Amino acid sequence: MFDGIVGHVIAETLVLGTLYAVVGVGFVILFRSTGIVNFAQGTFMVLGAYVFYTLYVEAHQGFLVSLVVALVAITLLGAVVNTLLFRRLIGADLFIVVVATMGLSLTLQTVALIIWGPDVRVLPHILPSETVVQPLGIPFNRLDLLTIAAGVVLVGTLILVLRRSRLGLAMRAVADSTLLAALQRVNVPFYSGLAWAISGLCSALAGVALAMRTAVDPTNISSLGLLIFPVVIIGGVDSIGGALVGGLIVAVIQELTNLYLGGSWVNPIAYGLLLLMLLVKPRGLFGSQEIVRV
Amino acid sequence: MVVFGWVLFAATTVWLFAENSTFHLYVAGLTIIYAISALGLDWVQGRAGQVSIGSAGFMAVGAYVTALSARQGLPPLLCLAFACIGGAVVGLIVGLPALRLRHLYLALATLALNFIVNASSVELETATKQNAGFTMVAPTVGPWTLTYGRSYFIALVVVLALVIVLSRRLYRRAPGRAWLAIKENQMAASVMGINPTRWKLSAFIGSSAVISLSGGLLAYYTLVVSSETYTLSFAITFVVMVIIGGVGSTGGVIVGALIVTASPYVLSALTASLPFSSWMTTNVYYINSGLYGIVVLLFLLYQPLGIGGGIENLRTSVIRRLEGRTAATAPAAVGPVSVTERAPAAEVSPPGEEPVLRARDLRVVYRSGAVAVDGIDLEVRQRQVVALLGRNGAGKTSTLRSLSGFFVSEAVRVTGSVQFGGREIRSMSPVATSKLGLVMVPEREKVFPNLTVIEHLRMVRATKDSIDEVMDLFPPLRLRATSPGGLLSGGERQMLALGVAFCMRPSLLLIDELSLGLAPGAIERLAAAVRDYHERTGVPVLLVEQNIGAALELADYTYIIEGGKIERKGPSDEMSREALIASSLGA
Repeated sequence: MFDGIVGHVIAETLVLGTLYAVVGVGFVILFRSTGIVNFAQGTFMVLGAYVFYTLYVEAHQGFLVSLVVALVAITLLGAVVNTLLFRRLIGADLFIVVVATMGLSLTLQTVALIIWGPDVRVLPHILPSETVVQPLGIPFNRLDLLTIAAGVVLVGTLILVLRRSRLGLAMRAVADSTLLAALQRVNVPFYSGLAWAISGLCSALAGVALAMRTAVDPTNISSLGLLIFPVVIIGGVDSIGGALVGGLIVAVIQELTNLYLGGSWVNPIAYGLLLLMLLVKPRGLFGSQEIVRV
Repeated sequence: MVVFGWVLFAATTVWLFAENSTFHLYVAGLTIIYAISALGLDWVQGRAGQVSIGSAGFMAVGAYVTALSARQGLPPLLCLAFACIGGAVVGLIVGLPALRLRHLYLALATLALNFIVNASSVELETATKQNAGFTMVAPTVGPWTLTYGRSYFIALVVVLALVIVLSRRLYRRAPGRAWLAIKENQMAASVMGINPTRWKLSAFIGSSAVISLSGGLLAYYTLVVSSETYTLSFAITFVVMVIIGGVGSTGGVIVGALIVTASPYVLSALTASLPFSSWMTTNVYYINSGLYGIVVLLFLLYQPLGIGGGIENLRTSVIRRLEGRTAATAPAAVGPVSVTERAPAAEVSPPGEEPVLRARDLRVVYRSGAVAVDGIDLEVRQRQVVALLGRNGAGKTSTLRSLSGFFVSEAVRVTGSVQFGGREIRSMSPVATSKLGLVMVPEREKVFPNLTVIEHLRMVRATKDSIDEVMDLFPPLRLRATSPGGLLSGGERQMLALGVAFCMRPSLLLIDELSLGLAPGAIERLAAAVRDYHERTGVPVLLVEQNIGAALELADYTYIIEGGKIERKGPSDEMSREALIASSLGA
């Protein structure tokens, strides 16, 4: 049904959409729990890819070991930056905290440059790249399927935990009102740390997946990481469902732009849409009203 | 201060001019150009209270307009004027969504501007086959051709001085006051007849014009305009300059620009001369690329008000000390208030067992210097219901909040002693005090808007039985068990908040404005529930109220607070209506 180039584009869109949705969900969880707009997610993605590369290629570890260690490492990094930095900035103006995420991002980039240097690293083909299934003629290879499956499992687990568990209940309480949660004996700093850790986990997964598709290219991966802003603004910054839809929309835009206009137009069109959304419907497709207005 | 700043500025200028070192003059020129851009950003951020990370975009607009105008053979001053106009127009376009949006959304709108301008400039360069960027010719103004070194440096000094003088003049007059009013409290400003839309937009447009001017100056300085210059990282450097300089401080922002611009050069020079620094020399380039990120983190952690704010604080505290008012030094903006332990007053308490809660000489001072609570003593004994009455702004809520530790993470100074169950709890956070059994029902935001009624009760680990008990106590809640808190009525919210508090098994219950905004019937029902709960469990209660009738009915003992001081206290039945009227409350 979808043969040739169209099928490939659809497959690529679904994979990218999943990855954007994963990072978007991490963004939304952190935003709702702490109010922080995190500019360091792209750098988390890059670091995840680097750690994976180092383990898999340089330390000759297995695929699963490398992946798990990379995810755990960046998850912990998220928790650590919260403890070292953002816990100490509680009570500061939110914009100041956002600038701190920029400073963090720059600092981590510098550390990565010192450790890994500026060169682009190419990962070997870990999975054979031939098409394994072709529903409706859309060709998926093993990496595509694995990426989508990992994304769905991660997002599904997060949603389930948030909806069903006590942990999730407390996280939602903190997201609703930090002070009230504190009054009701919820250990707010712990949940902020957890939100940072989740943000790290989601970014790392997307970073490794992108690196496996393209290369460990810090510039490229962190600029893809910045596309998270159109994703969450289109979906609504405080809506997990919105992040899923927004992720898919941005992936569609990216693929169509690539196809018809060329890659250099992806950012301006995605950000143009962000600007338009801010003008027309600032809370996004699924965001709540109270969060936006002055 | 201002005079000192100008003297420093003039002395530095004379020194650099006399020294005539090409390198120093180059860095100084760059610093001035960046300082102009940062001052433009501070106009929006420090004066009008808006935020922007779009400086690179605006500077690119200025630079490209200058380059394109210069190619038409227009004189440099006209090109720069066009740059300002171009920046103002783009500022208007980006500012429009800003008017309706909160802070961070505005930041994202300006972020979008960066990307759009950058992509457009790449397209422009491709279309005009100038892939390495537009080259420029050194500008000629009157008889002078301005190039690196003394000539351009002096021209920049003049422009910077003009920007400083004009902007300070503007800030001191009506526009400055309007921006300040909007920054401090937009609602209040619009009530005063200040049109926030107009003033925010005007700040945005003006600031964009200044930032674009700096872009034009940069184009003439480096003699090349390339899309590779105006990246997101470049935009962030200006935010960093303003923050480390101190938002709203002209001198600070200039020093911030100096630090960010010069520190990579300083670091390179320092490490080059170190004897054993092979690691450093290989990595200094990388470190320099992210140096401003590291610098801003250090500032945010250790000097959050920036250089300007730090100097201001120092000055205030020196002045205060000179005036002998050491008690009210300005606290830091971030971080817990200082813990100066203080022995409880040696006053003998009335006979009976130890009170559950005893506050001694409690003072709450806001960052503005306003004293909300001015040394009050307060006690709650076992099995007692105590009411704290007072008018709006008398200090009731501040008292309650200081007891439960609300102010620990805020820029509010709390002194004195608060003993609870024999422990000093004054510097404890709300989590810590609530774990000790001090449970507070806040005045506003007393329920979670997105959690259902049942989820509220599960949050505090209520058992099935106690959930049932709450539902029996407040039948309306049973009907709304699965409604989110945000959809409850005012009365239902108060019921839920009380139910949650009861389930937390408090050893002292603090209730802020039980009756606020509720109909008389609802107040009676809630008061009855509190009385019933108190009689059943014996848990002591501290109520804060404006509604005297409701409070006197419930309370055994009453304090009346006025202007942050306890004006009158005594058993509730002895608080005659005359006494209340005399205490300016009864009206």
